[in-house]
Amino acid sequence: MTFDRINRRTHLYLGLVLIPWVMMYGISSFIISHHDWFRSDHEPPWEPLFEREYHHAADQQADVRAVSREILKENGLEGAFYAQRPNPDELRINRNTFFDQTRLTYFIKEQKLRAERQHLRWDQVILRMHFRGGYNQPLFLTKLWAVMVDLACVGILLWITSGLIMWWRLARTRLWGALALSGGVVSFLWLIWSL
Amino acid sequence: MDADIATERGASPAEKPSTGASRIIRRVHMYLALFLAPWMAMYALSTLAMSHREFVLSFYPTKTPKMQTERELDYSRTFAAGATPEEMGNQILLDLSLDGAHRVSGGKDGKPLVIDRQHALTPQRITFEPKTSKLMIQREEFRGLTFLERMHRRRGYQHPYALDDTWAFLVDLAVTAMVFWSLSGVWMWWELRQTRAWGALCVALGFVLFAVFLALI
Repeated sequence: MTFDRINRRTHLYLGLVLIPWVMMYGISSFIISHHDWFRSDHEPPWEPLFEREYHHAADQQADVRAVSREILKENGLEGAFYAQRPNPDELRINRNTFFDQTRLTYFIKEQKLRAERQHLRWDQVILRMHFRGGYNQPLFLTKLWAVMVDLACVGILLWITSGLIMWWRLARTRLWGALALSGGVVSFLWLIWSL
Repeated sequence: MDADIATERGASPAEKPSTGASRIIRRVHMYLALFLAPWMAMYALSTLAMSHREFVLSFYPTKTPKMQTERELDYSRTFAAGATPEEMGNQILLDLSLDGAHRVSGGKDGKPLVIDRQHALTPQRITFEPKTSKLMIQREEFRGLTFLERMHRRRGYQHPYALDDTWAFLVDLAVTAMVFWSLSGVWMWWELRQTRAWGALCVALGFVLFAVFLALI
C-alpha cells in the first residue's frame, strides 16, 4: 500500500467514524453563536423524585466532591456531576446525563435528602454534549467520551495534514487551492492581529 | 479527492466521479477546507488545551497571565451626571484611540471604572479612578493557552464593530462547513465502491459508539 493510499484512506475512514461528533460540534456551535434564536423563557420543569431521611457524614472541612461522589454512589446515581456547598448545612449535587439532570439536595442538619429531575430540551442536550470534556469526571465511559473528544481534535489536525497532501498531489487544483489556503491564512492572521 | 487522484492515474471508471454535481461537491469540500484550515486547527488545539488544562497549566508559573502596566496618565474629562458606566467607558476608549469590543464594570458611586478591552493576542485593562482623575492602562502578557481559549470562545454578533461581525461570520461558516464536510464526505465515500464495506463499518462504529454514550453517560 502506498503512502498516498494510506493517507487517503485515513482521511476517509477517520472522517466516517467521527461523523456524529463533527455534526454535533457543528450544530451545537451554531446554537451557541445564535443562542438568542434558541433561547426559551421557560426552563423545563423539575419533577420531584423523592425526599427521605438520609445520613451521611459531611464535615465542614470534608472535600465537597468526595462526599458528593459517595452520596451519588449510595443512591445508585454515580456519574458526571457538579457539587457545591452554598452554606454549612446544605450540599447541592447536580448529576448530569446528556438528556436530563438530577438535582440532589442534602440538608445536613436535618439529615434529609431531596431529589428532583429535569428533562432537557433538544438544544440543551446537544449543548451538554458540546461542553462535556476533560478527564475529571468518574466512571470509565465518561473518560472514554473525553478520549473521543481528544480523538476528534487529533482527527481535525490529521484531516488538515492529509487534506493538504491530497490537494498538493492534484496538480490541476493547485492554483485555486493555493488561493483558498493563502486567503484563509491571511484572513485568519489579519483578524487575530486586528481583533 | 480519491477519485480525482484515481482519474489522474487512469484508474477504473468505478473510481471516477460520475456527475458534475459530484465534482462540485468535491471541489467545495476541498477549497472550503483549505480556506478554513486555520480556524479548524485553532478549534482542535484549543479543545485539546482545555481538555488537558491542568497539564498545560503546569508549564506556567501562575494560573492566570500577569497584567503589565503600560502607562498611567492624568485624565481630566468630566462626565455628565447621568452618564452610565458604559457611556463613560466608550468615551474613554475613544479618547485613548482604543475603540473596540470591550466590557465595562464598576464606575458607580465613585468607584473605579474598569474597561476590559478585548484583543485576540494581549487584552488590555483600563482603570479610571474618578477620585484622582487618573487612568491606568495594563496589558495582559501573552500566553498560548489563554489565547487559544479566548479565540475558541469568541463568537456572536453582539459587538457594534465590523471586525467582530467578520469573525462571527467566519465562525458561522466554519461550523456550517463541519456539517457540510460530514455530509459531502458520506457522498464521496459512497461513490468509491471499493471503500464501501470498510466505510460502512466505520460509519456503524461511530454511530453505535455515539448512541452508547448518549444512552449511558
